Amino acid sequence: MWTRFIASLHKERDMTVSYKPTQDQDPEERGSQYSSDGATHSDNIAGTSFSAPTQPGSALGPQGNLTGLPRSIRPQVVVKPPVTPPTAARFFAAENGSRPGYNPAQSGEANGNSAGQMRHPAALPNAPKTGVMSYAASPAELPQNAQKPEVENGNIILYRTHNFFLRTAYRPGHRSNPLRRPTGHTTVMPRVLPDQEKRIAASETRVMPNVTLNTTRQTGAIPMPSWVEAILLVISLVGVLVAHAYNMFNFPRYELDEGTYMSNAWAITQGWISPYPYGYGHPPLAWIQIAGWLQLTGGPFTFGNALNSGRVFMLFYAVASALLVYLIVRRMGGSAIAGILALVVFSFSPLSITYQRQVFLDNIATFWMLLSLYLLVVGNSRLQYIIGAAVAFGFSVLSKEVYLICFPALIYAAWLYTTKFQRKFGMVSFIYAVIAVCSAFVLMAVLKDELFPYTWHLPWDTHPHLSMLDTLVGQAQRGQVGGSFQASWEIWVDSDPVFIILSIVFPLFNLVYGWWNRKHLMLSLMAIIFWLLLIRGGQVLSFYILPLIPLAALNMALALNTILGWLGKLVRFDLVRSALLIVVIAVVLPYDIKTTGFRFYQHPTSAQQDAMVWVRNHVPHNAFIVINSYL
Amino acid sequence: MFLTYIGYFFEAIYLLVILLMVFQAIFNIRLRLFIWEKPEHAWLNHAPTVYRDPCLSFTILLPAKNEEDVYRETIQKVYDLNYPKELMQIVAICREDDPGTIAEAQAKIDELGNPNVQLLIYNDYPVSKPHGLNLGLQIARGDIVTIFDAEDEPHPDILNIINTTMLNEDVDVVQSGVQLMNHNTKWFCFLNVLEYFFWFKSSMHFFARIGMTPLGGNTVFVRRELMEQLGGWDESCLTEDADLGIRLSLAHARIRIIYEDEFVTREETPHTIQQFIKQRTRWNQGFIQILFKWEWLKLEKFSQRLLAFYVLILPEVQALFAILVPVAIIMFFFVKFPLWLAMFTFLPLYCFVLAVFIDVAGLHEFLKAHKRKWSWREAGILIMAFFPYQWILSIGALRAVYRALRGHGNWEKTAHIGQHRGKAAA
Repeated sequence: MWTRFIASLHKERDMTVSYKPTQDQDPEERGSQYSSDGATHSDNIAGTSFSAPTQPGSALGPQGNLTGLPRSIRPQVVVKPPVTPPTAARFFAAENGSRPGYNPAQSGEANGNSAGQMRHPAALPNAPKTGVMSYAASPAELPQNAQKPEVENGNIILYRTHNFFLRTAYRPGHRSNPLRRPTGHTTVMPRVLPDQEKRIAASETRVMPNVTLNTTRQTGAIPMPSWVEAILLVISLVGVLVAHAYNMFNFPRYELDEGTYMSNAWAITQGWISPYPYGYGHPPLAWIQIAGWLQLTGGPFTFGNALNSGRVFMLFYAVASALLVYLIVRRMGGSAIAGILALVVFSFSPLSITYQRQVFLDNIATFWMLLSLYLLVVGNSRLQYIIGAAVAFGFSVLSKEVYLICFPALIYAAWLYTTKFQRKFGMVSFIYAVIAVCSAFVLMAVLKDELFPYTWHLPWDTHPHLSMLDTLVGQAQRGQVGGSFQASWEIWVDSDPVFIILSIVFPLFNLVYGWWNRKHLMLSLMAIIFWLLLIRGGQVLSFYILPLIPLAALNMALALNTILGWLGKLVRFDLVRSALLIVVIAVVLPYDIKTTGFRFYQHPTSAQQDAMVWVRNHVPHNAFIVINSYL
Repeated sequence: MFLTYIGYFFEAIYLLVILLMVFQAIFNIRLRLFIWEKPEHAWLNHAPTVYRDPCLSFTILLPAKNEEDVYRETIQKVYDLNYPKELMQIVAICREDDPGTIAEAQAKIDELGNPNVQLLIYNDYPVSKPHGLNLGLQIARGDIVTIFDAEDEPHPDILNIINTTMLNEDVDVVQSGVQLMNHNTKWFCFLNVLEYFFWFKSSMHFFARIGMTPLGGNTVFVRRELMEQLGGWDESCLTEDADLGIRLSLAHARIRIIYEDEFVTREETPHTIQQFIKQRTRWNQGFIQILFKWEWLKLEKFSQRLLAFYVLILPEVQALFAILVPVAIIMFFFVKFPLWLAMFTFLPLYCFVLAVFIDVAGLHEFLKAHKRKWSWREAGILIMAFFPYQWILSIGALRAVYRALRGHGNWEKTAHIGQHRGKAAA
């Protein structure tokens, strides 16, 4: 190592010595370099005001020396006679682009500074003979016989003109101004810098930015043609649409909450937040969306009654959510069949056929939550997607505040799906955007002066009002009076026992498998968080299962895809995985249809509709009616 | 009746301004985060890892004025760059009325005794950095011309990197990162340092992509022929660097931006608020000058012109917004908007708070890149300093407008005392 280093030093010295001859020829090479660089250069040099710098000439004195100059200063490039208009005039000439040979696009704007002017200290008679690159041979570099160098107290004046001079240290015997002029043709160059190797060896390793994406490859050995996939998907979505739409107005019966939300939506169209004083029970974004739907479809009675109109709207959320479930699994698992399985589980379960039809905030919030997850999963760590996901999740929370509890899981998702390089700013943007959107709810309360309870008698409280904090405290303390977990559990198990069992088993599987695959862990956490919310002992209504349905479907499809993938690996034939997944679908679908059965022909709402018609016909319009809100 | 219409009119104006503020704030955040927008952008700042043999020669211009304290060290640091000395022409540029700096430079030149280390002394007007640079350009002999300011601390391998980049990629201009380093000496240093950090690391790439790149004042490497074709720097401009950038963009120069944390040129923040305001005033005034040169209007694409206009007018716009803050507070208490409008007026605040958080994240990134210790106290100071810093910026902007209107065009010099060097040693 050391000897090699010495050798390299020697080599370098040799080269420095042997360099001399090349220097003599280098002016020509410069010229050739320029012409090879592109002929435009020389044109431009001539075209712009830079045509005739005269420094060497001015300092040179005897004209006869010019013949002894390196060839570079002979006009190899096109040289214009030294027109030396005053600065301003030159500037305008440049502005107009009127000079011949002036090419604005290439040469840039010859702007009006006085540099150009400085280059023409005086219109010397010999100026035309000096080429553009003439200062390459500034006086000091000229053969010593040109002029005795000007030396003053140990300094040599390399160049002097009326407004400035250039000097440097003078050591007798040194070649003055020995800037080497390497060109593309100079082959004799020092190969290494002194100490370069040691320096590089000693320097710290530079870490390249880590931009590895956490994405799944296509799992299928034989990728499914996209048209087959598209057809499959369309068929599935049409199936979802039909299954949810058929008998939609008759089953299930109208719930109390459906009526409340529809009347809230109607209130939005009238310019209020809700028909009664708004109590901050739920954020209003969900029924603002319904109100938009009402406006779009021309009022609440387009589909019979207001509740039906809401249910039509829910149909779109159901189909869109099904699509999102498919796409998420497709991307996370890399398998289209697994996506279809997730879609089937999500959409055709009796639970979803029942609850996804109804006008619940959860249906809207679930859609936004899935959209958020989808944007994270497909975003390839692009910041726009991350912020889009944050806004979508914010909408989810503003549709139903409970969804805030899966915020940690989504933060984890955002963490997983950003590259290390972007993670810091991605996380800051994501978390901040979610909080910012969610805080709009609080901001609204603040602006309405309804954040703090009236009972605190704050100075600006002039009249009794509902308050956000009161409501939050009330909701937190709400017992199981409205509905208990046990009661709901019985309903769920009664409707679809298989689904309920699987929705516990597969998240647990993913929790374990998450040790090896963090994406499974993330999905598992999402599902587990919602299960914990249900079993915490608070009020549980049966439709609280809604957010769990897609999460269970996602967990199930991905876990099955993994397990069957192992099986496929075991028999060394990946088609086995796809085939088995198709078998699973073929089992799930008939089971679902069988258990769903009665939901397609019962019509419990007809009694409610009859009651409504009766009230409308028999009760005077100015009468006070104390009534369930679904009517 | 008439009064209510006037009221409506002002409300509409107010809401319009709010909207503009939101756009500006979001765009500003986008500029700051551009490099982190996509994983692919990570390579934009990439500096070569394997150096090619030194081939290009460099002329390094070191303009200085009243820099007795730091100049000698600067020349030494530049001289010590890892590059063959016969390929470096170092030109110290001073004016003759500055004997202190000249003496420092002369002493260093005598000490080094290398004829490639040269001293240029001029005696004419204008007394400005670009004038000195233009004179330096006349005697420049290297293939590449570059500038370092008197307080700069370039990375020892910077010339190798530029040499390799220029040889490997077909570029005319390389702007390498410049970074203020004394992030915690004064309360405003945090934000000033971060401003540089985001500007050179991220925003510059956005500018380069659009094709309108206001360059930085130093560590910018330009092919000499190109520099000469452009006619050097604009001597009347207070921010000749940004002007050069726009003219280079007009000339369709291929500009490469490199910001590798390790290779940034280290600088220091102005060490007092007065100095800081003066520096800002000069920059903003320079931007106003460039704005009224109307050269940017010749840029081809509308997006380029719009971006140029945005960048040049930004300080004044921000000053306007800073003045509007009290107005907004008054409006909040005395004008009753409908609920949704009232919520809308809070959007700028949301954007500003996001900017604060991004600054905090940026501070973390900066500290990590330079292996410094994270401190919550410093993050706290940064957050507290955010709005006062904006107000100082707006003072600078207003002062620039005032000076531009009054026609003061002189160069207000920022003093340097070498704070960042003390830090580096510690």
